[in-house]
Amino acid sequence: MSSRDKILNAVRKAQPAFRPLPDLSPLVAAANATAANATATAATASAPPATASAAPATASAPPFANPPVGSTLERFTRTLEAIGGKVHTIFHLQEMISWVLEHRARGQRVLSSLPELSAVTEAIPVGSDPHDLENVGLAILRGHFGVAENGAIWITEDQMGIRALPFITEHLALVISTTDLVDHMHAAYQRINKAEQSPTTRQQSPTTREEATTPTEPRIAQTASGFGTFIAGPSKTADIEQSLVLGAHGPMGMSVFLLQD
Amino acid sequence: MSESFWAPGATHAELAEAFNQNEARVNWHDETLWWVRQKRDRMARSVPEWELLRETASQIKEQVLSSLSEYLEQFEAQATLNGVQVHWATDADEHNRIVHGILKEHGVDRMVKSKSMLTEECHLNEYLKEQGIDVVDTDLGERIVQLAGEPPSHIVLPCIHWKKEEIGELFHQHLGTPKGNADPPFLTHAARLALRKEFLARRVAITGVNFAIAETGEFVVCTNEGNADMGAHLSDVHIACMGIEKLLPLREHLGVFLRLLTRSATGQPITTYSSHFRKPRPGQQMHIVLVDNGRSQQLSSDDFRGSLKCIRCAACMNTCPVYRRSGGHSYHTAIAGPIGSILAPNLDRKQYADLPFASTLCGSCSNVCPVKIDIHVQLYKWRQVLVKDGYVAVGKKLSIEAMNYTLSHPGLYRFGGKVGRWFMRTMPWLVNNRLNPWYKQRDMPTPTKQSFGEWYKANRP
Amino acid sequence: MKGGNLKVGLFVPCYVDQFYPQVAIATLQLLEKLGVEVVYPPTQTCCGQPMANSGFAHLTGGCNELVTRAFLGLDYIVCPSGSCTLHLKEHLHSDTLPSAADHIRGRIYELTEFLVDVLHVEKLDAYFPHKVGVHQSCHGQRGLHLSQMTELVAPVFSKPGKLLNMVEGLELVELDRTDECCGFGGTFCVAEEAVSVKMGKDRVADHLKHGATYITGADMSCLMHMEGILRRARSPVQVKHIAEILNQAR
Repeated sequence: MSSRDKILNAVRKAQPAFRPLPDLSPLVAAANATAANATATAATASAPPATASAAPATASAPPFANPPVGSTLERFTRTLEAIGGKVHTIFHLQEMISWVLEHRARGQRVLSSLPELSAVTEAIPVGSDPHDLENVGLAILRGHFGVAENGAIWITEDQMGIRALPFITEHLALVISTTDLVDHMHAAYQRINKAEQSPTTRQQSPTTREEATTPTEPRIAQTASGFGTFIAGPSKTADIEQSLVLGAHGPMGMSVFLLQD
Repeated sequence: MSESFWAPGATHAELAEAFNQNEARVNWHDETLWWVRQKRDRMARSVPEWELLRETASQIKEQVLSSLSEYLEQFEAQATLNGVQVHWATDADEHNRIVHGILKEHGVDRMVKSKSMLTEECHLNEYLKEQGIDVVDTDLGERIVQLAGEPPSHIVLPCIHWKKEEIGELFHQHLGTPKGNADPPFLTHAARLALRKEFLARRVAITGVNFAIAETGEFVVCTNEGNADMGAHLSDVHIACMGIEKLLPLREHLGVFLRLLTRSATGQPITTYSSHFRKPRPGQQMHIVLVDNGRSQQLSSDDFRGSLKCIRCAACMNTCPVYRRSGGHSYHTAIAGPIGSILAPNLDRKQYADLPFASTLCGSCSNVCPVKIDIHVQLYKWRQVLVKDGYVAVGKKLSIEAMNYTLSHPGLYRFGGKVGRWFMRTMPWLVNNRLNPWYKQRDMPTPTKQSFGEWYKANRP
Repeated sequence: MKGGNLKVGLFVPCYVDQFYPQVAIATLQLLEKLGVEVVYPPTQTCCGQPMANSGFAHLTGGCNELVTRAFLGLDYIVCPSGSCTLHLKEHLHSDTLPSAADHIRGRIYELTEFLVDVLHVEKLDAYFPHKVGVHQSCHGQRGLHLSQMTELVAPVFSKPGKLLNMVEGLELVELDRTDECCGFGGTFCVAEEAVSVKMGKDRVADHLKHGATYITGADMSCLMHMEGILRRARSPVQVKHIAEILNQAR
């Protein structure tokens, strides 16, 4: 018998009676409520004192927790800055040109996928040997969206050009629109799944053993991205006595440009 | 690393006693890890729905265990469709041979590896070394212990037991950094430069797997350093090694687990990189090795199955008052601490019979566990199993049996208590001596003339 | 807070019976003050936990039978130890009197939870003008939920704390680590002597750092361990079971 069959037989024999998958909706609703409370708190805080006393009662957080406050944008910015990212707000991509030129002036090789910056950056040599990226000083890429609860940005390989690029570059810059923000990771995966769904898809999560394990039309298209990652700030380590050091193996610095619509 | 790192037969109690010879260092170790626990608390409190998140994660994992064979087949089919080669290993030895086979096929004798507790469990590094293969661990903490010839002492913070001055000296010897420089940013940068050469030179990279998705055939690897990605994306061949329990049914379940993992582990909102590998890049080979190594055995046990829910966050180690004061190496196994103490006996009851006893059963581990494993209950249950199977010293067995006999006979108990207290009052040196482990660093309670039972009889006729 | 007509059996842990009779006396007197009729069945010995936690649960049949027979037909069983209470709640069974054992498992209370949850005590006539640190014993806290656990994101409460706040003159001190284990752990205290003592020393140091002159708690076993460490260090700080403080009149 092959090892595969041995393992599958042993597992089949050992696994307990079927249990259903939990419904994620109460958790998603709770995460949405946390975000709504955070936004409401921010609105209350910025409101004039006269109206503050009439703040919505929904915003009361349990006293044992220390929930986030502020709008989605404020939470995203604060979290990303806390983990070592730099956040810039811009109205036009052309505003980035002077920032790129500063890096160029330091003799850095700058790669970007953004056509708006093509005059001052090198195009990504898609399909070439990733080892040739060894000396890249700055890479400027588009991301799909940011996540307010952890400051992460979702980026897929079509946006990277070469998978190694966002990791091997000395400094990474990601560009997203201020409207491309979600509150939490549940919303993040809803968004990813929507973007990558098959044309004929089952939208419900399976709840029975048959539904969960019977191959039906896959929800995620086979043509969807082969690699994607959440990036939250510069690479870092605290392996030496828990001292935080930015720039372990990946970028020493990470900048996010939030494009205002 | 090697089992030979530990003295043969040394128990947790003995190794912990040796660790406690240097009290200042114990204090430092305890406080460093307690700080991580506090960071975890702050992060958990920033999520008011934290307890619902834990409960949901626990239920997802329990569902996975109830349908694991189906998910494994679904994952294999989908990964194969994605162009990934899937291998199956019944035990550590087969896992090591599969990895070596891939290396041989490519004529490679050097490779980089990012953190994988599974490969530690399988002792892959020593195996490959014996086959003449040079493995470079690229996680900074793992590289430090590798240079020192030690196994990691913690699954998330591998060199948490090392002081920066010692790391400075180690780097001076191995990387040629200036003697006496113990500055963490400087040392980290030195390691970055040295390891970048390795990343650029090696054609094969091994990574671990944090989560694998049955629905899509993708797997997720989480690092802060970016070393898994550097290795994988610069390699011609990427080998990902995973235990069979790492599966999740659907991609959206990652939303639950990525919210929990790093908050529980280090008190960060998420790792810097949460990379989703689905297909090899053009021209690259991607392999997945699915490893059983005792997991199907653990799955068959109603009492111990829950340990397979573990996502290797190490929150149980950081909170464990025994772990913090005995160090990871005292557990003499790849995965230390409370979770290691319920996993290891499944691999070898005799060798790890001491570990379920290396706990006060305080229960803090179960409370921080993001997937709600009842760790302290399983420690208690392992004790019963190990005693029944005869893995407890004869002396201990006899003394427990004698104690039980006395406590099962009220007359004998009252007589024994009276005599015992009389001896303690009149001849305290009988118990107050170095042969009594209690007395070594603690005074005995003052013996009273009257027990409560005697008082009650005299005062409440 | 009415104990009228309640018949309560007092379960006294073996080491309390032998080494700390004053704790059992205080428990008895306190319950009686609150109007409870208390009986002490003399044939009790031990809950069986020392054997069970050492892996010898299969030997505890004798203790189980003694407990089951001793506490037949009582409204409640009260024990001044969270640890022994938890053990009986989780593990007591009897082959000869299974329903009696079931009854006891459902009716056994640790002292402070009995005072708060059953008697609904809101006021005590107690006086203890000292700075007191509370040791949260793990089995009482994490097993019986006598107080909230710092690991959880959940509302804060403390049954021992609520009662101690009723004591006149008593000042509770805050600790750096409010619910870390003291390292007693049953046979752990001798089998893992080095770590056990280190844990105890660190717990004691936290209380001393915050100026406690007494350390109290709902489990005498933890206090016995910390007392051993305090005495070895010749510290003037004393341990006192919570029953002794709550029973201390002016």
